[in-house]
Amino acid sequence: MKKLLEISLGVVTSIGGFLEMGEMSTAAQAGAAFHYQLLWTVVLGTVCITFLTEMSGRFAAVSGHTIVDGIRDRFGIKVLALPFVSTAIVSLLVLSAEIGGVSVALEFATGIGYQWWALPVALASWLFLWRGTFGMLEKGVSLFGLVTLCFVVAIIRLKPEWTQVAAAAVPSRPHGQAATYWFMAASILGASLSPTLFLFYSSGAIEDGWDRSYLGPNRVIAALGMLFGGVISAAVLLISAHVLNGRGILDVQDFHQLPLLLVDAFGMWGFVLFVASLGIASLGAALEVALLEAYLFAQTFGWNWGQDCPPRANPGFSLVYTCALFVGAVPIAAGADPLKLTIFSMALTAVNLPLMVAPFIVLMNDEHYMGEHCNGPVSNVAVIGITGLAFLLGIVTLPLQYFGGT
Amino acid sequence: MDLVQDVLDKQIVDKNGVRMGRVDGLVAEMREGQLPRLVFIETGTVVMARRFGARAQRLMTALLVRLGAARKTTPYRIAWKDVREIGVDIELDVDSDDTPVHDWQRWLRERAIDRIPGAR
Repeated sequence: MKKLLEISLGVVTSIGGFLEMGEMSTAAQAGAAFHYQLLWTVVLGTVCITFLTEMSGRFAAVSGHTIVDGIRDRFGIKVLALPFVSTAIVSLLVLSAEIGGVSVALEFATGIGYQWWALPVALASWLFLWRGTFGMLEKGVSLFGLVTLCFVVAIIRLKPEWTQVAAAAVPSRPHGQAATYWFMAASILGASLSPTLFLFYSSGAIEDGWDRSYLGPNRVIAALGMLFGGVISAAVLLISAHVLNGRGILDVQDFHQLPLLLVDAFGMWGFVLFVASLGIASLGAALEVALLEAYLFAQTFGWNWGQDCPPRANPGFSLVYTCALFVGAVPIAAGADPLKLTIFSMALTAVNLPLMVAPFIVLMNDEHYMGEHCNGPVSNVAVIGITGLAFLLGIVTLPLQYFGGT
Repeated sequence: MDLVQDVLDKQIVDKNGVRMGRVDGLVAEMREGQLPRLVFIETGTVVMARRFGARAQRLMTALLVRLGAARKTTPYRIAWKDVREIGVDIELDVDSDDTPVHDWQRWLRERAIDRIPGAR
């Protein structure tokens, strides 16, 4: 029972890697443009990330390795090199997007332009990682992250057509604007399925000292944690369908439109709740992605790592998250549009996904590491199918979106 | 034992449990009429680069020299007899503080990390 309290690892992973600037922006855009219709991408994304998270926890608990560690161990540096480089770069973009998310929330709260907030946000995040422990990160982010449940309350207050909602959970083809539709599908899948999330979770499981006795709790933690993120993302999409699409706002071009989402349900408090949710979820994500960059480098090259040791025990590890946070702040401080940067980095995440997932799936089926706890056919098929779909959608629609002029 | 599967690329851990790099290369001794015998495991950036080809090795060496870390171009060799156990990681009978493996991290600690408040 006590082990189930580690649900905070599931929730922090869910908030940081799943429910954040990326998911909120892509879900809001999808709801505005296509009403309920893209809900199925949130459902598929949630199913797939639940499998991936459960697998990464199981891998850590059984083999004693994190995923990056396992890939290097099993396949060698030559196979790890490409996913390592691409994930490091894509995660840096995602980190920028998250710093953008916190900065945008602070702009809403204070009226001071978001670009001025990028460096203070990076500095505050850095200070948290510099002084804080892994437990503080887990418990702090999961506790404050509960504020995002306000999206669920809001959608219940707005009284959606539940039969239509259920119908939208099944994939369907668009009636027009096919290129935009599929691009948004790719972005939502990318926002849900970031490698950051399951790489972080497996490192967290090692930080928390998991062994085989955690196999049962891991299932519950992964399922509940991801369900938390999935339900809230679905709520954001449905709210956007009511509030933005319902008002004839079909294209969210500007992040200033986003706080409108909660105003119908809560009035002026809706604005406050939205700002708090966006700020806290994006901050959690920024901390998580920065830490992930450090895990990625340390595990690839075998440096000492661990968020519970003081920085002087792990100089290389600390150097990586420090650099990542400040480099990540640069595009936002230079005035890059946080919303555009977010959507772009989410679609890129979808394309990058198979590079890490492919070797991971092989590991999950390797008896040398997993013994009797290898993957079953259901998790193999679900993960390969959904990441394959995300990759295809991303690789086809990214060029169309940015170079095809559609 | 399959050396490539069970030794190469594994995490190396010193006798105090401090992670000290990965097995980037193996050094075997050829013996007349007998099977080759593993004598050292190696860890170091240049050995790792070598696995991508001779050009990658030259590039990495040049880069390290340019960065003023010429000493890092020679890998650190660990005698096979100092390997205590092979499990999830490779455990050594060595204290990492007695080796040059962490030189750059020590440098970083002394020059930067310790000068920032709250590093302890």
